[in-house]
Amino acid sequence: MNEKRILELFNNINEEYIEEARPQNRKKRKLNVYPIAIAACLCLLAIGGFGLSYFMQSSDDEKYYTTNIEEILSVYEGKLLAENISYDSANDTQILLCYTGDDLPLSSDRWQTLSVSASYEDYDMTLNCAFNGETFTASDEKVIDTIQYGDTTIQIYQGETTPEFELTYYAVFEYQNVCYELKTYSNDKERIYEILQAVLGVNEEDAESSSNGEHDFTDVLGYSDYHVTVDQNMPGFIIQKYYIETDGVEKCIAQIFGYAVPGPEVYSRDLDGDGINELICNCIYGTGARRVYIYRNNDGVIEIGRLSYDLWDSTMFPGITNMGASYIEENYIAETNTFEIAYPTETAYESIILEDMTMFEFEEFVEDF
Amino acid sequence: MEDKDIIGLFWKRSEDAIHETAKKYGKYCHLIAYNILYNEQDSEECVNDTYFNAWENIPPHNPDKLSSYLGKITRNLALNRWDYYNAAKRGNGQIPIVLEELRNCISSSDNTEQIVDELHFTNILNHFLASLPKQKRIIFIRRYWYMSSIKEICTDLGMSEGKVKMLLMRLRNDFRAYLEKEGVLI
Repeated sequence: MNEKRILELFNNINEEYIEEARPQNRKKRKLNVYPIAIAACLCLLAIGGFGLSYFMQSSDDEKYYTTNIEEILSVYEGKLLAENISYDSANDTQILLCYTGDDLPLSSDRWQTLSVSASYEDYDMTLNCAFNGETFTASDEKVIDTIQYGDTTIQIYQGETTPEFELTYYAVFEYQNVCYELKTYSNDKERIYEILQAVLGVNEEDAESSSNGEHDFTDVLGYSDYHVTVDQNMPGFIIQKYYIETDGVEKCIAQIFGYAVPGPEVYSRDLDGDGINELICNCIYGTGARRVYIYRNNDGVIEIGRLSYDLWDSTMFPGITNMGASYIEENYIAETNTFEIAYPTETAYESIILEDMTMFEFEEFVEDF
Repeated sequence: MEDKDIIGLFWKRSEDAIHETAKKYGKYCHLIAYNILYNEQDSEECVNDTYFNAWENIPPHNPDKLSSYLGKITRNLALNRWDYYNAAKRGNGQIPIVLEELRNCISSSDNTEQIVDELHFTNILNHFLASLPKQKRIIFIRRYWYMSSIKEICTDLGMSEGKVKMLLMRLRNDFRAYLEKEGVLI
């Protein structure tokens, strides 16, 4: 039987699945775009089209609106969660501040609501902020999860579908006397968790258990007396380091890093059969690029191994269409003890599976974060 | 008009059956045919043949889901017509690309593996599809049943091209692993 026959046999699949996948007319929602200069640490924006509908009309004072980002930031810079969101890859962004009084206040006590939104390639998001007693109320949509950040309890809801996106997720919570409503318009449920991690960061308790893979190794690189630290060098991005003490001096022997959700992965395996387990780390850079690193103990010298390959090698990467770092994904697959390099071609992602670590090049490890 | 009423027209041998079918499902069938044949005229002929086929077979058939019943007929007709085109070196569309993807999914390095039992394969395929989360199943079926292009899938589901390509790759790998686990691939 060949692939053509398989394609024909696909005709016999359950009719419910055919109906479920039936193409509909969908158009990606376009946000209204106002030309705005975005500051480097920017956060805010809002969609005038539907943001206004979220603003609570709790006072009789006449309301004013501004999209002047510089003025807004000058009042509240560094104090808003929305400032933690990076908009580098956003296609367009918007901001809208609603306040009472007939001039832009120098203080925030007349702010009512601030809305921030951004449109990315495969999802949209909006963060609405309510000040000075204003609040958002969650509707009757289904609660699908509850998470805790310090003293703040956050409930995640699955919202109504829209013509453009099958699923919307949102969260309403209060943090440092500001009420927040975060909405993601995405078919990927993980988006809202990623953005919550970005705006709120991760507290140490969560961060210690946020790396995936395996934990509580009996030894790391042959050292049973080791300890682990977890830090964030930016909200929602963790770096986990393994230390030993030699001659009274603390020394880092391995590090893994990635976004707290879904989290970097670490595994301990004896890949080269020398009796000492290597540490295999699936790491994620801030750009989303995924890389595998192997730490090994080479006669007392801690080495780090990186995959070495030539993307121009057409026999190894036939049909590769994009050699950008973010497009090449490296992964260690623990279930099969193999390494995968995935790369884009014109029509699909293809992958190469490596059965061992012969393509890793090692050098002495020097802590660099 | 509701499906049961359209099917009723077929059973009554009313000429309105074809008219109502075309009104409700004409575009749907055309989309399926065009994704395979990439040619307006041939797609139209396929759709017309679908109506004829439905007229010939209802009754005695009484389909539960008229849309997928018609869709399957159209798909079969279009694939058969594509066979003819392929022999004559004509045509375009997604089929060559989809076949390449499936070829890489099921072939082994020494080309000795075969799928031995078509009925078993179909059952396994349905079990595999049932095991998938809804969105992944939709992507898989959009690609390999509807022959939608990557771009159409991206646009309709609001996802990036890279993400769809990656998901399809992983789904094909999972499908292959599923076939091996069930002993369908030897």
